[in-house]
Amino acid sequence: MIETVDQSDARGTSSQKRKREVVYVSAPLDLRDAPETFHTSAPPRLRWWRRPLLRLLYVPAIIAGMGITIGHLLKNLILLRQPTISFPEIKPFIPKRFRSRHRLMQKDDGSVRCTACMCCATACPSGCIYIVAHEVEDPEVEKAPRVFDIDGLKCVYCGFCVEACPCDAIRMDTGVYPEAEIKRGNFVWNMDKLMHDIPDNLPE
Amino acid sequence: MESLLFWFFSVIAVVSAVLMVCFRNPLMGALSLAISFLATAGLFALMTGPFVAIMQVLVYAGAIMVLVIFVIMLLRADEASLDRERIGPFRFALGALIGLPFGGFLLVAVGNFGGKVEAATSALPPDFGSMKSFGRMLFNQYMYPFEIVSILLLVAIIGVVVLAKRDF
Amino acid sequence: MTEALVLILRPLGALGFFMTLIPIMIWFERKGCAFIQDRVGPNRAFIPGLGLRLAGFVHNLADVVKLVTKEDFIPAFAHRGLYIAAPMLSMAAALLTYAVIPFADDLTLGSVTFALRAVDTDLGILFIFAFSSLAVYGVVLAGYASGSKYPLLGGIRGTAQMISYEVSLGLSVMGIVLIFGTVDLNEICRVQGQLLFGVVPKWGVFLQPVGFMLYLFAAFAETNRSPFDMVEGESEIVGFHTEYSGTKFALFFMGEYVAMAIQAAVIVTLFFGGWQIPWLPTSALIENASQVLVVLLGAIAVGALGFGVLLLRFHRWNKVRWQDERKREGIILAILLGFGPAITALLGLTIVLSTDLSGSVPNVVASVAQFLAFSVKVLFFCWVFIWVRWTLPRFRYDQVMFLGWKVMLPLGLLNLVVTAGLRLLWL
Repeated sequence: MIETVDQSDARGTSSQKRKREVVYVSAPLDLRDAPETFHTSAPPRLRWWRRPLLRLLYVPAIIAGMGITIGHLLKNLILLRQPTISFPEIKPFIPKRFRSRHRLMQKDDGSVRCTACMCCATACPSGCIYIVAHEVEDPEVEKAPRVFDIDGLKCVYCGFCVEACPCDAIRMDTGVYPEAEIKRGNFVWNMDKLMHDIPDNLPE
Repeated sequence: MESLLFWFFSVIAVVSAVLMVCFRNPLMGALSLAISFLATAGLFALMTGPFVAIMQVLVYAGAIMVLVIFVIMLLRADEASLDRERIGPFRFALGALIGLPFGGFLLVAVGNFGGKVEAATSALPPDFGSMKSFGRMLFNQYMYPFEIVSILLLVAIIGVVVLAKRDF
Repeated sequence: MTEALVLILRPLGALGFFMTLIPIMIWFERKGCAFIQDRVGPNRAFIPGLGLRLAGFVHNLADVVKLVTKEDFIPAFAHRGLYIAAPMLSMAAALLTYAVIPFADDLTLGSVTFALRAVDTDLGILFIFAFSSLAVYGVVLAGYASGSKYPLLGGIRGTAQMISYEVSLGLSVMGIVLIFGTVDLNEICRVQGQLLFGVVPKWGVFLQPVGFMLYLFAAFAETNRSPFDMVEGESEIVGFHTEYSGTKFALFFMGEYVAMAIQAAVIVTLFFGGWQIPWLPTSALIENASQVLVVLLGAIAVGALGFGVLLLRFHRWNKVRWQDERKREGIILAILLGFGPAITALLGLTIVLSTDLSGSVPNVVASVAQFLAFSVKVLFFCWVFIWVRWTLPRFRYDQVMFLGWKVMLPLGLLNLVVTAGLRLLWL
């Protein structure tokens, strides 16, 4: 494909601002065989350091480039407006629907809402959820997790577990994302951590 | 102090020159030669010839030996790929035969200096060995030898270009 | 006694100057590249307890600790002796060249007059070329001794480049030597104090613009800096010191920076008047020593005040970011480096205005002023080295060779011939 810029005035656009229109034509092998419609307008005005003669010397382009870099340096030195965020001290803005670390919801009496139905563990593409169920007295649910571990290193934060959960027991709206740990084992979050080690004032 | 430096440089020069012949690894040989050149430059500097000394460093140690080492590295002459050289009695005798006249010549030349060294240093002009006097001598007294040598170098350059351009 | 002291102090002082430039240049490099790329740059390392980070300067200290305590590793297939010798050679060759660079005009103390450079010799440029040409050995031997293919290739590449550009480097200076008629750097500096057409200082740039450009490019290639970064090429191609780590790598690294600082000093000496302050020859400086001192102290006061104000801006920036002792850093630094020196300079100013200079004090003042001029110029060119690195992309290898042999060498020859012709006509 060859990109041509058609600037002919034949379409009555002369009174308006000239519209640059990009026409894609399949390229003829030789430019001499090009059809009549294939023509380029006069070459655009080049910046001074791009003019052919000066460009040969490299030097004007180098000087122009160095002007750009020193401009950035002076701007940043005086205004101090770099977009850098000093991360551990200042947290970046987390959108509301950001898929962050999981939390397990609680019932009104403080027990876990999860019924150990294994839907999340089944839906999980990375197999990071490990559940051991046990029987509970409550006739409505009959089952609850005794162990509910999520391996944070395996998790891909896809959110399928949240979609799969039939009783809204697992959510990913804490706004917490894992930080550095000393040991790999610290990334396995158990049920207690998932239920209680979460920020306050999250929606019920 | 000066004699100490003299012994320092001469021992290094002689030892590294011998090592240059003895090393089987060509790169080590070239390096010993470079060290020998540097030590010789030190000797020149001791003999109030700073210009010659600096030229020795610049041309021999800095340019020629670097090129030699460069070629050795391009060829990748490992120790394993070299033939085992045997120094038989015949080769030794041949080497001695070639070397003896040179040795005798050197002995005679050095012997002729004798006690003249002391006298020579005291009578030196103040700008002896400086760049200006060196250049003056080169372009006045020794003009023709200088030009002939430069033509020789030019011929060598042209020869290299001709050889490199040829289709083999 | 004085002479012996001078004999010892001169090399030490010159060495100290160039060694001090290393951390400053590394800091320039990191902070400058960060600001060019709209980043903040290193600012994490701090001295425990004090909380001072000195705008990333402490990172140099951290680097030293890291590199020195690292395991001193020698690969199994390396040639042991050469492997150890290569970084030493690299650093030694870089450090030998500082000896002939003059820092100021000859200083007269009482009855003793001595040149302010490490070694008294009139070999000048030749000395620098001779010992900087030995720097190639470091690259070659490191490549060979590592016993690995990639460093070998990197070494060969680097050697070819350095040999090629040494030719242009030498040729581009020949014009300067022809014009000034000497290779002695101090003499060259002195000649550059004269005026051209009575207006412009007779600096090398104005007499030899082409020679200056050629020397600048060749110096970039010779010190293996980007855009001629064929030797190391950290991001794409593997360089000659790949197998090196710890202190040995640090020696290569420091050798590169020392070579850069020395090339900057040579550029300043040859083309920008060295220690000359434009329009102020040494005699004028000595005669008007007290005025010079007043202007110097005033400039220091104004500069320090401006620096303090800049640091206060940093302080405001820090205050919102940190809740520990680091939030006070900006104000401490502003007082220590900005307002303190400014007040000291103003106090000195009042003392100078009330007393009369006598004896050899004016000579010292002149030397100090010239040394400061020299340092400012050298620092600027050190910055140019870094500035260019963070502006330009790297050349391809064949482009480097093309530029060296087919553009710069003929241009250098042409420059030499034209200069010689003009010199013949006008002399």
